Amino acid sequence: MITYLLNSVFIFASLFVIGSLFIIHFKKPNWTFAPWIGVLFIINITFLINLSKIPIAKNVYDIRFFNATIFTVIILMFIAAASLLQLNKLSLRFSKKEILNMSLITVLIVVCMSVLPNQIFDTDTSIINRAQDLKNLSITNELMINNNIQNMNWQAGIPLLIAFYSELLNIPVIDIARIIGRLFFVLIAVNIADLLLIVVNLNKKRVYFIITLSILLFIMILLSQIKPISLTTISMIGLIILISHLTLNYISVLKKGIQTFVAPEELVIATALLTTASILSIFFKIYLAVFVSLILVEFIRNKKISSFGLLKILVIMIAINPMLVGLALKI
Amino acid sequence: MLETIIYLILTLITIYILGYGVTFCLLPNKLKLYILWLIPWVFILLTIVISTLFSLLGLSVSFTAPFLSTIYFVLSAYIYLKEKPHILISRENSVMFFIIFMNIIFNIIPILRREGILTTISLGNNDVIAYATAADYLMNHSLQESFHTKVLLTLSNLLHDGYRWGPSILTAFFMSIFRLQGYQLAYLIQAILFGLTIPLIYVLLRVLYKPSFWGMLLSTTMFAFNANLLYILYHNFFGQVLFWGIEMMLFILFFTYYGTAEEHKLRINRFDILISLTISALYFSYHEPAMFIFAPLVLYIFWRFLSKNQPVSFIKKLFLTATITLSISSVSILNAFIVDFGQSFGSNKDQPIGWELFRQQIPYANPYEALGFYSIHSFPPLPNSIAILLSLLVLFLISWGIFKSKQKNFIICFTLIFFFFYYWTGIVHHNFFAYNRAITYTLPFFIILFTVGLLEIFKKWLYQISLVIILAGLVMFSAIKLNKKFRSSYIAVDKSIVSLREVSLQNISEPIYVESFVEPTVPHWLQNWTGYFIYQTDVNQLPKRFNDTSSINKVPENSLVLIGKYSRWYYPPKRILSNIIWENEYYKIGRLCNRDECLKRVEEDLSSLIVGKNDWENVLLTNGWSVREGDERWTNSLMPSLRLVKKTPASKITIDAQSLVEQQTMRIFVNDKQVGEIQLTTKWAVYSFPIENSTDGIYRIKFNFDNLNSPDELELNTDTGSISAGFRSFTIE
Repeated sequence: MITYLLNSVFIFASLFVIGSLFIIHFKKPNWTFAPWIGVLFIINITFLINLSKIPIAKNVYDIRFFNATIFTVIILMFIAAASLLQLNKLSLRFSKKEILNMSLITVLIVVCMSVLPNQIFDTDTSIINRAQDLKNLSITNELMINNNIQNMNWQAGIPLLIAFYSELLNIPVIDIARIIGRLFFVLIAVNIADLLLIVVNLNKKRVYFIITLSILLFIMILLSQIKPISLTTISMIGLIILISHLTLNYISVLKKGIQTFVAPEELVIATALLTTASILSIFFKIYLAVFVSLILVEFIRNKKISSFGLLKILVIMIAINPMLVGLALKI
Repeated sequence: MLETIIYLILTLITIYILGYGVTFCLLPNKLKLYILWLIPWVFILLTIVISTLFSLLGLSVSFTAPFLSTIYFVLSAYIYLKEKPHILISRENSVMFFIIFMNIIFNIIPILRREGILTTISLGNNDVIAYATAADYLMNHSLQESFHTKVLLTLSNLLHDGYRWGPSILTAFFMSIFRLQGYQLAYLIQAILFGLTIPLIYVLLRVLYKPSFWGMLLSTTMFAFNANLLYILYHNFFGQVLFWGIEMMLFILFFTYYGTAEEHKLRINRFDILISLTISALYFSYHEPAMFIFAPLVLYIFWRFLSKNQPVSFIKKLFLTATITLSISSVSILNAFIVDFGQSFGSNKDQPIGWELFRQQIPYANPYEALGFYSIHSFPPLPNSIAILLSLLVLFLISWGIFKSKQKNFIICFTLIFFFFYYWTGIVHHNFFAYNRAITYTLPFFIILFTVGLLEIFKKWLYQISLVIILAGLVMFSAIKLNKKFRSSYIAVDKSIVSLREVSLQNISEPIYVESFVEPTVPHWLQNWTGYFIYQTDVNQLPKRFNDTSSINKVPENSLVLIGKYSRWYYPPKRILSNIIWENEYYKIGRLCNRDECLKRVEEDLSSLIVGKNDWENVLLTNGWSVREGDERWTNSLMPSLRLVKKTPASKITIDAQSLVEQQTMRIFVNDKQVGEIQLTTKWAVYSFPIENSTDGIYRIKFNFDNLNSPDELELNTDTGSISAGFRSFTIE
């Protein structure tokens, strides 16, 4: 139990820290989404490393530490350095209230994760097996060996995340899958509770947050007893909430004007879209259609800044991982 | 000839027209002064990056090239109409255009003078096949597709191992515009890229020093006609040729950006974007020399820390650039890191490389030779004392150049790293080829520093003119020597090979075996390029047993085989083909006739074999024979065998043979019966033996010798192989 808790805390904390590296540059930061942004970046980085023919666990050329897990950690360190270096002033100064809020949410999340019943999840053996396979064979090598493409090949986002943490913490993929599933479950509840309170303008009061979160979790657990939920579904729900929130925020930020060539919001939205492509391509296609429609609508409404901004997100997405975009659109 | 010149001019015009708008938009104001010479490279780099990304997305170049070209053109037209630039061609620019054009012509002379068609040539290296094949593939397929479909081995090596997509994708871009094939543009594009790098040398000279007409003449001549660099071009190291341009672009950007006021601006600017694009193009094209570019930057960080010269702003900019670059080309960068690290440390870095010594004595170029004043590829080493003196003089001028250049601290960082690589490859590992690569990667940089040093020491114009004439003359002399060698011994995808385009492959549904499957001595160039024309359109045309040593001479009977009709610069395999289904002036495709049953049916008289006077002797010489040497054939086995076919009764076999040594006993068997035993001598002699008539008309002849001898050991010649006897003819009567 203690090991389980420690691992849960580590995974949550690492995702939170990675996400924070981007959120600190946001015009309107919402820290409850930080772990999701961490998920996005781990999935995308491991995916890109896999396209370089480097598997998660197996050492390339039998050279020690030449595997995707170590490379991901190095790239994350690089991102941390780059992110902190680009801060104009020390924005990491938080008020006592903010720190207290964050600590509270962290404790809540970890507590909820540990009390969630096991039955909420569908036993998704395909994801577990895929995560195990990806430890020793990269996606590119798999494509070249099979000489064909199947959804399974590249819809590998969640298995990559599981495989990464499994290798990093040296624990079985099934345990990581359980932790991640519970984390996503609680995170969704946290995000919904937070957004609901923002809508009704009660987000300043801590007690309302705890109550809403408890009610939401209760409802979600009840619903999951009727039909257990799969890891893919739960991650897609989380991503949908994240993308919707980020896009709406981004459009409102755009109206005030973005001074930089590439805004962090744009980078994160592009990465989120890529993540949907690596989990369920149908959602990626829907999002793409929505984005293209939005661009056209904004263009027709003569809101060139918005349409240009949204177009930029699509360009960034293609620049980061064109192969994934292409494969997702192909099937 | 005209075709080549037209495409050369068209390519240059296309680059300038399409590249103008985008260069104008991307180029930082500080560099707009040099826009005329930077247009080609901004265009090339951007095209490589965008086309690669689109190709990974799943779009072929034939789709993206027209789309991209339209955008480029519209942008150029818009900028032209908006800016209405006054185009003034100065004296310097006119001379530069002249040097570029003459350099390209100089490097494509064999195509113009001898080939008469637009094609690919090489001084000997076969790598260009991979670039041409990949360019053809990427025209109609995407990089993404290549990862999940079956592709030729040559493609797989280039596209999947090194992720070196840039050269082929750039070639494919122009192929798409001009509707050409890979073999037509693969060399011409390299010659053009090399030519277009020449002005970058002068731009960097101006960035580091100041405008100087004589400096321009000397530096551009030293680059354009440097024998060491031309050697790389003539051997089709496409990636490296492209690298020189990318390297110069990066140097120009680094030296005008880092360490200047521009560096302190926090936001992303055009320098950052252009540097990121250039680095991405580098990793998409040729990542091996990346360390030569980035290691000095690390050293420069330390220097900035030590000198307390605002290191944080420099580090911030580096991180920013690295982030943008990683976002665009992380896949290639990571792959490059793994491949380069694996090659450098994971395997035996001192393993023998398949490259002949440039010269037997001292194959390592000294500074004087490296700068092109004396060719390592054409002349024996200079006497040590002279070589040391001249090298010290060159090193002194380079040092003086460093001292007198702007950004000397930054230059010192590059210089230190470059010298470390010379030491590591030349002195530590004694790898002449790696040393040569290190030299040629870094030469353009030192040419500029040498020029600065020279101009600074000899400031009087009369001295400058005299020295430029003398030094440029020395460089030209070496270049002409190498070019002469190139003209006399180059290999080409000549008209005969190109004629294979006429084969109606769509009507043939079974594999076709090219010459190398039946004859191991067929040159690789032939093997590659006949395969290029036969297998490229449909990978199923490729026989299951691929071209390797295990497949030679194992072509199944009655298979379709492509064979040259007569000796050109090589001997085509002497085989019998029946049922010719296609032929032209140079080649024929027919069914392999190798078995006894088939040989009995052919019209040719196979009862007599006079070496070198027939087109089928390899069919009859079944086992233990060396390659033909004129009219002789020597055996490299103690029990060689052959067969002859005679449809009418026979009673005698006659052979014309000799031995390397006296007292070589030869026993002869016909259809497993010994018909005689003789002592061969070192003189050619004709021997006859009675034989029994064979009922099926096939006479299987075996020889048995006592000894194998090496001509080298007998001090007859330098051949170290073991042979038993030589033959000129075999006849059954």
